[in-house]
Amino acid sequence: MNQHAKCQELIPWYVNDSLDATELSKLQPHLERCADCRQQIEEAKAIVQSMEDDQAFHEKLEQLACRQDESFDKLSQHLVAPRHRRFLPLLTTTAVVLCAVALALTIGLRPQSTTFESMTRDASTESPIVQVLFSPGFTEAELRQFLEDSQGRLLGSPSAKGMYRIALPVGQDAAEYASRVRKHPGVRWAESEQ
Amino acid sequence: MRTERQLLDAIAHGDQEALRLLHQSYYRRLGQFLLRMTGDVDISAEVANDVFLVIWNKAASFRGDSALSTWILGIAYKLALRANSKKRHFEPLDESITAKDTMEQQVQRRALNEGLERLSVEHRAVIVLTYEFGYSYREIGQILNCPENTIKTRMFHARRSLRALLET
Repeated sequence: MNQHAKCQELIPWYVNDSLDATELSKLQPHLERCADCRQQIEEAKAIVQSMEDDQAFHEKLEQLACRQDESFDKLSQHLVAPRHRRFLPLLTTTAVVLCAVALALTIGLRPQSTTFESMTRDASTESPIVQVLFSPGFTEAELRQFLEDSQGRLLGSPSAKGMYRIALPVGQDAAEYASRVRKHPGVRWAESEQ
Repeated sequence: MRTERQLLDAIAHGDQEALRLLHQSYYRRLGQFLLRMTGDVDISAEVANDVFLVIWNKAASFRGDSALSTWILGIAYKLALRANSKKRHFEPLDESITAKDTMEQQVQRRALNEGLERLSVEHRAVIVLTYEFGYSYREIGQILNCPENTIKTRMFHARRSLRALLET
């Protein structure tokens, strides 16, 4: 950057009188011989003057200044003493611990909820399997009761024809079971799977 | 009479009277800066309150690396940037040109106000802190949290924009 450009850069702070002695000693000789820089000083002074004379701005500033007391009253409502703030981390930690204890107690004291179990399950390879076709109006509740009575478990979804595969406890006679459940009013057909 | 530093130490210990005294001595100066930054009395009042709330909460963290006024204006600048990002545009300030102004003064003032309005808030801050508040570029660097060269560059662009407007 040449001397002229460096001096140009400092002009605003020459105008506001904030340059240090070293900067001034470099700038002043240049200003004496540079009409362009002197012109820029005049422009900067004009801006300062315009800002000082800006009546609209100063009227707004007076409006703002009138709110000074109101401003502090409003502010003082939001002040928390630092000596109290010092205890905030401790208070926060205590609150978190108390919440955790309350949560643990709530969970511990809550009556044991019944565990949800799916009606379907993988069968043991030794489980006898029966295929059952239920009546169209057979409800889910009836199906659950039916399975509970027989200690059976559904294997997957029904076939395209609506046949359910039910795995029986190991050792149970599938043919006898099928014969028995065929008499159930909700069962249209049952047979043991070979 | 307590010095500003003593006031700040007292504020750090929860002395509301010290905050009131600091509020009393800084409110107008802060308002002047915020009004230049936002162009709006209501927003400036709100931001000024936020600035004093930050001072109240952060007084203990002031290390004294810069002047207190620099620290306070730095807080004000950040909050003004945030406030400006929430509003649509800078409100013009030139609606009350008085009859006693000469035509030339009116034209120049209108051009200056329009120029300030069109400047980015970063450029406007450099102009205001230099020409209205008399800060050095080093102090402005501390207030705006920017390197000194950035301040000089912003000033260069801001002056060029203002000059162009004043010439038209």
